[in-house]
Amino acid sequence: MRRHAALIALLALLGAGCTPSVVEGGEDRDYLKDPPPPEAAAINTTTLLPLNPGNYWDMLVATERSAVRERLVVVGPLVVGKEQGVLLELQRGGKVWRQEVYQSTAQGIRLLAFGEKGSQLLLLDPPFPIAPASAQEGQGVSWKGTLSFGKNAFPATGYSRVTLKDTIQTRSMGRFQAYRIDSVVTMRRKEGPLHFPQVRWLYPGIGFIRRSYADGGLPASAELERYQVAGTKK
Amino acid sequence: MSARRQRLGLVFGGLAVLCGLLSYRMNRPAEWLLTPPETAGIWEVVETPLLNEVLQQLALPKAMGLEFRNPLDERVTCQLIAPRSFEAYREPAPLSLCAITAQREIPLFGPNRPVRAWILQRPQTKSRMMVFAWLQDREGNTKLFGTRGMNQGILDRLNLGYQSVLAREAPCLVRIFAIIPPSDTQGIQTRRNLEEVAKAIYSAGKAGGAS
Repeated sequence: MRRHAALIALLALLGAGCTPSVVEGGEDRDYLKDPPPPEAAAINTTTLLPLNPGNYWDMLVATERSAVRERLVVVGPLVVGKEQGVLLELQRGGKVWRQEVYQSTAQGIRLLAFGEKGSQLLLLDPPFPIAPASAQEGQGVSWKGTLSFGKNAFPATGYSRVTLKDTIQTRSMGRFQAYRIDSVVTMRRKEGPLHFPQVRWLYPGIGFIRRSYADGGLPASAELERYQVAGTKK
Repeated sequence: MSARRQRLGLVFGGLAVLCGLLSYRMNRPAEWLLTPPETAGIWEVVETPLLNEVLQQLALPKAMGLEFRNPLDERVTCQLIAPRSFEAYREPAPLSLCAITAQREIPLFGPNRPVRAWILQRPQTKSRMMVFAWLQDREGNTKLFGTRGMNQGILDRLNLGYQSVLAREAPCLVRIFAIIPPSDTQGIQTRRNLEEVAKAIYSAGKAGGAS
């Protein structure tokens, strides 16, 4: 009888042991914490990307090959297609190497056009909304339209996602809880898709804190060193 | 003496029947793979067959490899495996070469429908990966299995054997993972991506997909 009891106990133990348990914890346990429910926030897009003529941001750009300095300068209004935007020039050694045209309104931030090294601007039609005025953490916006330069027009798609709080530590300007905007425009050509990715970290009242993008096909990362926004210089 | 022999005979006979039953039950329906979604919201799905070396480590089960890619070029790798033997539950290289630095159970698909979540760290580069894994049947029930498949030893084997004998149908093993990029300092976006993909796979499988 005792033997039977032992056998039954063993079987019961086996049965109980058959529900695998997870030993929780570990040095990286914070990575598996439940994130808080996604926040929604009203973004003041005009302070997030202040586009007053004369504003500039001096950035240190690191690529795989070298480090260079560039200045992002707000030049002024520019009509692109049917839309009015604001032209932003990216200068290296005093020379313009890239241009971007934005619209920053109460509805959100939209990209109207961009282009590199003196070539014609690539026009986005309709404008690509990279950050809505009311954004939810981690929520993305898909875009579909055309990308055109001169008489050439290509179908294009885009996607942009806003992260509301991303902690950025800069070498010269300190620490920021910045908005992070991941976006990509993809030109759908016969030869295959051509991607234009960019990540922008923006901070209200300042604008660009950091940018990462493809520079001639290579990843480049630019970080704010000093700026002048609406007369405030730092 | 003869009574003792009889009892021993009974025990060995019982064990032989159990082993036979176990083999039969494990092999019987082990051809089912859930049908993955063709797209999942912003994610496009690209078939990326498992490497031969990986399949050999797993004793050549029926398997499917997929990569989910979103417009921002973030990727989630997915392995679907019909576990025909204990070996199929193994965590294949390169995952098995990494150290587990955290783990927990997440009831991702509802109460009693958990997944096991791990963080893996590569020994040299210290880069991290997030992994979700679960067993799913056609009705959408999910179960966990040993931490690293069969590397944990006899208890995991007993556990799997026991579940295989009791289960009406063999489940499909689903394992998804992604590298946590350094810019995702808390792993929040990676977690979000894995959850989106996991839910899409779960729903497609629950819809009754079979192949």
